[in-house]
Formats: sequence, structure tokens, C-alpha cells
Amino acid sequence: MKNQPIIELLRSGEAAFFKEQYSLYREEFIGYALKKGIDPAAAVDIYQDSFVILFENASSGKLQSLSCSLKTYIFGIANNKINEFLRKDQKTVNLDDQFYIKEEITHLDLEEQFLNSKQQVLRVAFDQLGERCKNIISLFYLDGLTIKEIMTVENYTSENTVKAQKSRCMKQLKELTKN
Amino acid sequence: MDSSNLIQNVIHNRASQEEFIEFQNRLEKDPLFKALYQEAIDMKAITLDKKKSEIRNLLLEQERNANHLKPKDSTKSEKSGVLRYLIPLIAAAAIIIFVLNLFNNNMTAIDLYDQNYEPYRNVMGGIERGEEIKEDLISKAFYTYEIKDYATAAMLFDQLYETDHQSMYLFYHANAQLGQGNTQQAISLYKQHQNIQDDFYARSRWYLALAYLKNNQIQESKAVLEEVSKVESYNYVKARELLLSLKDL
Repeated sequence: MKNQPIIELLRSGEAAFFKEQYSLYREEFIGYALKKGIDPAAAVDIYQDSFVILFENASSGKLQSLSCSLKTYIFGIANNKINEFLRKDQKTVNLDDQFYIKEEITHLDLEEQFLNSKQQVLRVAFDQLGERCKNIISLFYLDGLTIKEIMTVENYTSENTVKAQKSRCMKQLKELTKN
Repeated sequence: MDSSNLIQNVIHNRASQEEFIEFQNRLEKDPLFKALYQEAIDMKAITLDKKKSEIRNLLLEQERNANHLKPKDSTKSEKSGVLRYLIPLIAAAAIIIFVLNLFNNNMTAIDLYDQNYEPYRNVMGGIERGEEIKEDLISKAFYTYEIKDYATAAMLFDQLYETDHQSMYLFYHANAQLGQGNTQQAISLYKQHQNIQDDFYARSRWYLALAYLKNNQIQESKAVLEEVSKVESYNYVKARELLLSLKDL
């Protein structure tokens, strides 16, 4: 797939890549948002939220390939967030003055996903785990690595060691939720 | 195929058609498999949430850097010129903050509700200019909700939930009741919705806190806000701010 390396960078949340992309279009976006009547602080919030949604879409598999440039995709999300913001603020959205990428992005998932109550408890407990546990759990559940792949990436001696370590971490996590 | 691998393949969108059929069969017939699947879903959600926090912090840091890197070529006289305007502005802002604080101290639960309440948006998409309104019940319900005809919207969402038990309708019914000022009814509906773990869970908790506030049930509102503010979730920052404002009430 043509854009696969970019998708992979987005999916993994590669810090350097996100920083670079963030800086690249920041001024242009803030300028555009100000023209739409959005104050600078809100414009920055919208721009940051757009990057979080970009990551979430890539990581959850909603974004599997790009049919446009990454900049177009980011601005597509951000532009929709602007309209949402203006609607909330009860300001008029000028439909004749939409950003030039409107036609290219038609189906964007803008809704940021939040955790349910059970997941929130797990999330608090997860933060209390040691780095080794956090890492193995993230590699397995978030990055989707197999036990064998984790063994290779993390230099474990055998698949059984990885399985045992993961199992210990999950047990510890469950214990922490009881506190 | 091993349960764990099968679930991994489905969750990470790499299952073949055969694997997907096997997955569905096992999900229906094997409660242990179903529990493992739910565990994987929860774990994916929390690890994703953790990573989102990291990205947000990264961008905040980048933003701070961007502010530091602003051009520093302004001359001394320009700086003193800016200061000449800035000092009276800062003084004025301090007076405004002082006055607002005085005002804030006298704020009632209703004042704080008014300050924090804004109707939850219509997730079915806004009504664009010149767009024709469809006649089906769902479209009518969301349309009346969006134009703030909350009495009609409440009736329609109630009907929708009766016929099709989608928790989203329950949430919007509660929103419509809160919108038209039926706080007691809204509280009861939000509480009912809190028993369902859907995508609107965090949002309905925030609105439950507001509904309590409007009903002058300050302790109940505080208890819900404490929960909202504990983790990065919908309006958790606002919840912390509101808790501070509620401290003396």
C-alpha cells in the first residue's frame, strides 16, 4: 500500500513524526482558524485535538490507508472540528467558505472515544504497573504483536517466558483494580 | 486456532474470512472465549487511552516550544512600547478577575449550572442550510432536539427507546428532559443510562452531575464530579474547575 509507512508511523504514535507534522502546518492552520473567528487558544486546542483523533483513527484501524495527502487529512479533521466548535458556540458556519479540502474528505470519524466505567478503573490501575508490564501489555493489546513477535522485539528467551510475564502482569493489574 | 491469536487477529483487523466465522461461532457458544474477547477490547481501549495522553503531552510540549521559538528580533524600544500598553491591560485584567472572584463567591448552584451547561450536540449531524428534514422518527427526534424543541424531542426519543432499545436514545431523552428543565426526570434517565456501558457513558455522567446541580443536590453533584475528574475523560478538566467552584457551597 502506497501510504503504509505513514500509516505505520501514525499508528505507532511515533513522537518525532507527530512533532514534525504538528510544526509543519501549525501556523497555516492557526491563521485559517483565526479568519474563521476562532480565538488563538481555541484554535490551538482544535489543532491538538485533531492530531489526537488522527492517532486514534490510525491506531484503532479506522484509518488504514490515505487517499489524499496527510496534510489534507489533518486539515479535514481540523476543519470539521472548527465547524463543530462554531455550531456549539452558535456562530454561523459559512457553507460557501469551506476549506479547500472539503470535497476530498467525506467520511471522517471525529468523535473521540472515551472509556466506560470499568475501563476507567483499569486505566487507573494500569498506570500503577511497572514499565515492563505496561510495555508488554501495550505491545500485545495496542500494537497487536503476537507472543512470538514480542519475544523477538523485547529479547525474551522463549515464547513461554513472554506468556508467563504477560500473565503475571494481567494478574497484577486485576489485583490493583481491587484496591 | 488458539483463542488468544484468533482474538488478536480480529481486533487488529487481520482475520481471514474463515477466522472471522470461527470467531463468531466461538463468541456465541463459548462464554470463556467471550470473556477473553471483552478483556482484549478493554485492554486495547485503556492502552490506546494511555498513548493518547502521551501524544497530548507531546503536543503540549511542542506548543510550549513553538511559543519559545517566536521571533526575538524586536528592539528594546519596541519592547518598552509593548510594555506601555501591556501594563495597563494587566492591571485591568487583575481588577476584572478580582471583581469576578467576588461575584463567583456569591454564585449559587443554578448560576454554576448556567455557566457550565451547554446542550450536548446532535451526533446524527447538524442541519445544514436548505437541507430537507426527513420524515422518519429518528430524523424528527434529532431535528427537534437540534432546534431545542425539547418537549417534542423528549417524547420522540422516549418512543424510539420503547421500540428500539438503543442506549443512545435513552441518553438523548435525558438530554431533552434536562433541556426543558425537567431535572428530576433527567436525573432518573441519566441514572438509568449509567447502568449501560456505551460510548455515551462519560458524557451522561457529566450531564448527570449538571442535572443534580440544577436540582440543588450539591453533594450528589460533587460525588459524580469527583468521579468524572479522576480520569481523562469527557469534560474532566471542566469537572475539576466546577468542583473548585462548588467548594464553598
